[in-house]
Amino acid sequence: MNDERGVIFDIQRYCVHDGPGIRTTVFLKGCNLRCFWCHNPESYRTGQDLLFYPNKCIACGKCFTLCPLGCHSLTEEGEHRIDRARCTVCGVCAKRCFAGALSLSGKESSVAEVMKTVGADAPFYRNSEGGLTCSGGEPLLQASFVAALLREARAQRIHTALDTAGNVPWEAFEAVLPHTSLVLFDLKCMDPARHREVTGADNGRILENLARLGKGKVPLWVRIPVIPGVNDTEENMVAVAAFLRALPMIRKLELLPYHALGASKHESLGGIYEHKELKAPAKERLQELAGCFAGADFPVTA
Amino acid sequence: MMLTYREKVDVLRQQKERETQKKLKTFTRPGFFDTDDKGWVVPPEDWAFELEWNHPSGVFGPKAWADNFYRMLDVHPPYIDPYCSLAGAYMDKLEWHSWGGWRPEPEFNPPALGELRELHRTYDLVSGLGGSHHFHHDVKNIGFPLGFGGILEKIRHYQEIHRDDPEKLEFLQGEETVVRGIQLWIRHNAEAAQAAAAIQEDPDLKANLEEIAAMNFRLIDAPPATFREACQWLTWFLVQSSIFNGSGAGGNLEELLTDFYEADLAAGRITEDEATYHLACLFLKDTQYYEIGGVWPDGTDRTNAVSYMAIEAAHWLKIPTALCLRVHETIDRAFLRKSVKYLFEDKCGNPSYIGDRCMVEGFMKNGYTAEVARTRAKVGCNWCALPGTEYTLNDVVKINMGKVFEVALLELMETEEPSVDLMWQLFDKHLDIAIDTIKKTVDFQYDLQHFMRPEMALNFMCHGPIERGLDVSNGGVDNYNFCIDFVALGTVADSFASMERAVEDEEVMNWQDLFSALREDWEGREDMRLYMKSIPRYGFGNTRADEYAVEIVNRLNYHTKKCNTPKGFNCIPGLFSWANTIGMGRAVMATPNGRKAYTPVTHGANPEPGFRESGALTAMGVAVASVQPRWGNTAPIQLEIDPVLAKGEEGIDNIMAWLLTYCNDLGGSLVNINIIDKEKLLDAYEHPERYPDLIVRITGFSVYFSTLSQDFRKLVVERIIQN
Repeated sequence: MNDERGVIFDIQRYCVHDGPGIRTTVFLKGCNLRCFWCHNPESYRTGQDLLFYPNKCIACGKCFTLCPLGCHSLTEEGEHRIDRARCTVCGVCAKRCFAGALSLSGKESSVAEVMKTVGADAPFYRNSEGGLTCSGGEPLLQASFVAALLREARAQRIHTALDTAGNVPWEAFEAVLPHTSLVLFDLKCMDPARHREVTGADNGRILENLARLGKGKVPLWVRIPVIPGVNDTEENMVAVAAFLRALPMIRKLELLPYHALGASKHESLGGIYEHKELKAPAKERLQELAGCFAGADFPVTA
Repeated sequence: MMLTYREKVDVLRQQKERETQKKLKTFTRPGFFDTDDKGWVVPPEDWAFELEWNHPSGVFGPKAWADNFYRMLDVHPPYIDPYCSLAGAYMDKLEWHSWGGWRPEPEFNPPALGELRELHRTYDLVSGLGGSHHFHHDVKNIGFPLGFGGILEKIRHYQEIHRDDPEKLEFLQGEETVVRGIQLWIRHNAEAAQAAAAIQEDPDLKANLEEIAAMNFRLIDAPPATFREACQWLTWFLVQSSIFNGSGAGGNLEELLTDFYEADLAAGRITEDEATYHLACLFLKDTQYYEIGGVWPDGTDRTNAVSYMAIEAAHWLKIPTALCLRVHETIDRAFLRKSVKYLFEDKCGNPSYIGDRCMVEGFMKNGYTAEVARTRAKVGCNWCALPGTEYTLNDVVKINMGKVFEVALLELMETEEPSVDLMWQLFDKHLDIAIDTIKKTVDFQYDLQHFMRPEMALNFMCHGPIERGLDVSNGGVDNYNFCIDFVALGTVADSFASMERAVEDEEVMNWQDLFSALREDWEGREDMRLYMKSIPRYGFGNTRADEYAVEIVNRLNYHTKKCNTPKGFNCIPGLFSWANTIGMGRAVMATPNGRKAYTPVTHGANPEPGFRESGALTAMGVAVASVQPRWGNTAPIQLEIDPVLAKGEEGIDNIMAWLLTYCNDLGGSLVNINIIDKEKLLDAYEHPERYPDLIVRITGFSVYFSTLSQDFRKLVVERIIQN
């Protein structure tokens, strides 16, 4: 088996929302977009991150003495503070935090190590037409590892899906597509300025890649996270529909409602989640937006 | 206005829910309802019955039990409901009255048994001694062709044959008394239906009551001739066995009812809706364990109209029905899909699913053919049995491996050089002693139980007891396969893995630290306890605890199967805690997996709740399949699933795929599933009275949540929330 190594931050079994059937999703670390609603903010950086969940802390104080740089401290109000500017994410504190309040996100793994977990559920994939999905972060930032992983999965007769936001050079796709059974393409919004504003990046390359994929050989599902105030307008959806019309490989379009599950993760990384007031869009609203795709050649789910 | 069949079932369900609340007010003993929901109804206020003891210490032997049973059936109030197509219900059980227990004389308590009783205490064994029923009868081949009149003739015939053997004669006379008692009880119900019909003004209900009366006057003697009569006959037989000692083994419904349904259909006597209604009435009468699906003895798929109607009837009823669907390679996928759809829609934990491959291949290893193994129906909480030819003590014998582990651990604490390897050897030694103790105890059960509480309500429905004049527990049937269930697999496997990692691999503590923490129940050592809890559990996948779990099952299989009981009886291992996780946990000190003293041990073959944060469904499937003992008894997996997982057609497809994979590819045995909305459950925990219709699956059985004791509600809520 290939000795490529990649940095992953989670492997989830029995995933039923990342492609068809019962799947195992491997989450790769590192992303070049900064969507504020991201429910996996620990995927932003390629290296390891220290996560801290205060509600699990039993105030044993061990991290205060263990940290070689003295990054853990208590404020006068009794609040546990981490000096993230100095923290080198050495992991000494997390290793000895038995309460699970401190943990490290991100681990370098080989293809064989990942496949040991993925392969365990192979019979479930066969009966459900499921398989392996590589997600992230942006998995194509580790295109060589992803290609090796998907190649190995294919060799074991496991269906492979790639969940990407598409903001990578086309060469990354070229490396991975030969081993990919299905692409899940996350599309945010069509307006370039708005896209830059909410993700920190242009959508020019993204749309270019999408267009190429849509005319290529691998089936494609387009997934749009519906974020209130960002892209939940008829105008945006109509523009998406127009763009997708010319792409024969699209097999499905999914409108995925925003959810706030990432909020606590943003805070565990030391950030402040400023969008707590944001509510999931109503089912009816999703249905209305799905109406913008009337006449499309592919099914639309909301 | 005439109600449709389905509307009548709605009325019956509402009555059942009211009756359940009434039961709660009548029986207030804590924990009384922490078991199967049953179809019994509250007796009239003036109801009184007392057992007549034939011995200073209680009721013993066939005659005394039969006489007492006859007396109860004679005075037991009839129960007729104009909305129900079937008569009868039970209001009392013999075992709810003071009946003694084990005979005190020395011949029934030899010193060898006394020594075994000591060991039962040492290892917290549920020994099975004095256990009753938990095997399967054969209504299809005995009851249905003969009827109660024919059974009576058969008993009298064998009384003649055994007339010179006083012991056998007494036994057979007792059986005659039982059958005559049942006939009397049927007559009383028929008369009550006749009286109710006379004053009923609604023409539809009146016609129903008249039919109930006519049908039951016939069934006093005659065998059933129609689908409805077969359901009624089954009701009489099953409910009387419930009154006698709580037996709940319903049977395979396709085996029992297909011929009747097809004959009625051919004669134009029945519609699908009507048959579904009769099945709903049958399920309402008592929560017996019924199997549906599976294969006929020749291996062909058994799914037919009866299978579909059974699922539909349970869907109409929405009560804790105990249907189990048998999954195999060629199962009718539409049937399986329908069952999954209703499982999620109704949220009654119904049906459960059993893997045909595991059960058949496993049982064959005991020396049976595939044709025979396929008839071994799933008719108990966790168990299967051959109809009418096998005595099993299923779900009655439990070995608390948590306690076995504790005994070994206390011994380890006294050694000079403790090690995980030595602990493993000590555990294995004590496991062997516990299993040996059970085997010896089983022989005493075989020798003595028939003097205590013979199976008077089931013997006449088995092949052999009447012919031989012997109780089923004592040579009446051909096959004796004693079940031994093991409890606390997860607790023990995790404890080994935690000890190994903490003391030997990472050396974060030494043995004496660990011993003192365990003795003091982690007092002042919360940090250490959390560390032990954080070590990857059995079920997580590819962990040491997973490996230990498999190795523990290898050892319990080895010790169980290496020899028969001293008398030569076969034993079959399984993993099943029933609802004993609280009780068995109370016997076990703190364990190295971070478990606090006297808290519950792990459930069935399940990993500890919360063993992984995501993807538990496949992870648990792979883990539990890997620890199946595979000798014909089950090691159930209990799943708590959020309703959202079966949203839409794809959600149902995925659950179906999970079941097919688990049963067919991984060779898993029994699957019990709770579909539960966590927020609703949490609210019901605070305010059970607001949710009288909320049903949860505890293990092999489901119940109304509001009927559970506080301890049990807590256990269920914690288990479900953590998964």
